[in-house]
Amino acid sequence: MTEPIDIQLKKGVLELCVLELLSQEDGYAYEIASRLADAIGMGEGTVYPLMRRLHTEGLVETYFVESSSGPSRKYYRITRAGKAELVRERSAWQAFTRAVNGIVGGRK
Amino acid sequence: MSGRAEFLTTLRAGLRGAPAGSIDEIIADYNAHFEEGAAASRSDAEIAAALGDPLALADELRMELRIGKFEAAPSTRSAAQVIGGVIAIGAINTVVLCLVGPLLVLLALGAIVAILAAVGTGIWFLFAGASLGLPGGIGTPVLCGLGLLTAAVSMIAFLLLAARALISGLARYARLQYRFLSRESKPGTPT
Repeated sequence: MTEPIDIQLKKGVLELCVLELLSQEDGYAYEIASRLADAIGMGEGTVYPLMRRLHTEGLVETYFVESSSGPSRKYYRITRAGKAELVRERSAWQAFTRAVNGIVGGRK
Repeated sequence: MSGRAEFLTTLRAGLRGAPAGSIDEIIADYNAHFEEGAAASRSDAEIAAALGDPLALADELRMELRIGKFEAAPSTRSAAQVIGGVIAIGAINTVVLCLVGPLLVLLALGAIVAILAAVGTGIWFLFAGASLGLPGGIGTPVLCGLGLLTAAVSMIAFLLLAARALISGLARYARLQYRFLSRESKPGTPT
């Protein structure tokens, strides 16, 4: 049942990454999933449970855009609550990495 | 087409028991993912591998649905479903469950006994308290009775709040666990 430590770390910051991407511009799940897969090597499927949870918690909202090729695409937009959550998570992440860097890379 | 059909069928099977509307939505999301991938000229097998284990995803999605339902409308039923889900995904060690579970039940029983006792003595004070001949006349037993009854009401409210907080905490804990302990070991190795 145990996973390699890097996968645990990645899963922990997945939400932060998604909110960060959406704060830059609205996105659809496929795009978000492939960006995260490229950048941090996550399984692409993991993004869907996360998007559902963010939606239930009111951190993102969805809207559909007609596509010229094929069915309409579901876009995600970050909400005001989502932005507030992003600020909280970002500062927690920065404080955490600073502390860990101080220990891991702290040799003088 | 086999990679896609197999992934979606396994996912649907893993989601059995969830509300039909939610299942359809989830399947549509993943089907759209295959569509997008195909448009980017990836093969279905390739996309399925990149998505990960559909059963692990189903576990996570089903738990998410249960938590969402409980938070939207807390009830004994939705609470039981969250607890059931937590046990089903193995987020809680059975040993811990066997130790803490009975303890919580005992605590709850104790609280219920205390509430019943407060209600009982409260009513007794109201109706039979006058025979005690306490100083202060009839007012004293009536006030004692009312006091005990309101105490009982606030204990009930406190018990409900505590139960709700406990389940929410459990849900949050479960989320951490399945994010760390889901059956998906590595992206690209569906079982």
